[in-house]
Amino acid sequence: MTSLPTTRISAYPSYVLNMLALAGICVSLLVAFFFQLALGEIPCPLCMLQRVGLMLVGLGFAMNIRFGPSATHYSIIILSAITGAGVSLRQVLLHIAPGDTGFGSAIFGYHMYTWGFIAFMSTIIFSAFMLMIDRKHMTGANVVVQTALGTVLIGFFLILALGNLTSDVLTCGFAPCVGDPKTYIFQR
Amino acid sequence: MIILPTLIFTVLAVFTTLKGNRKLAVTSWVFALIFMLGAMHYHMDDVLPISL
Repeated sequence: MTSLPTTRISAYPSYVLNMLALAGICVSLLVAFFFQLALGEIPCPLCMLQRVGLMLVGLGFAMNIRFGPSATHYSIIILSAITGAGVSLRQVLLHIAPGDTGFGSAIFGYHMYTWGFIAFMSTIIFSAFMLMIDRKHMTGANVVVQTALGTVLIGFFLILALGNLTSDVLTCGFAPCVGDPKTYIFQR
Repeated sequence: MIILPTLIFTVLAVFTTLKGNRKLAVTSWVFALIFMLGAMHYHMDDVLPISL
């Protein structure tokens, strides 16, 4: 009797680290929602694009969790982080002049777009280390990993992505977003 | 409207990841990134307050 080859991906350190990274992305999106819903700071187009960048980075982590670590997934993370960092850096430069108080609230002294840039850069560095850690565990993504915790986390991430989609529709409708939105479409 | 397509493809990519369809997830990510670059081109047009 021969047994099928099994891959104990849940035992890899990378599985835990990718779960933690995706949880970090979820927390970042939750903080953004807190500022939007509790403090009434409606996201600007650049803010929304940074959220998209965070979600695309999170997608790479989710794919590592779901399909096992793969160089393709880390490429998705790095390319998405570079794109998101481009938006963050652009917004930092828009408010870099002396006397400019910046856009939105600050958290621990930095505005959210500055934290966004730090997060995207950290993600790139994290992925570089993960590529070294995972070099012997690359599955080629030919497996589907079903763990309860992984499914719950990716499911929660999907809910946050749907929330951002809804938020964008409520902020911009089906027209191009204005630079500094003050109200939702149903308040106009 | 400009950002909406990238959000739709992002949601689709996460959903297909959850369902276990890797090929469709990667394809959705590619479209999401392309539409994001388009949205960046549209929205990142303000004049910077400094000279680079």
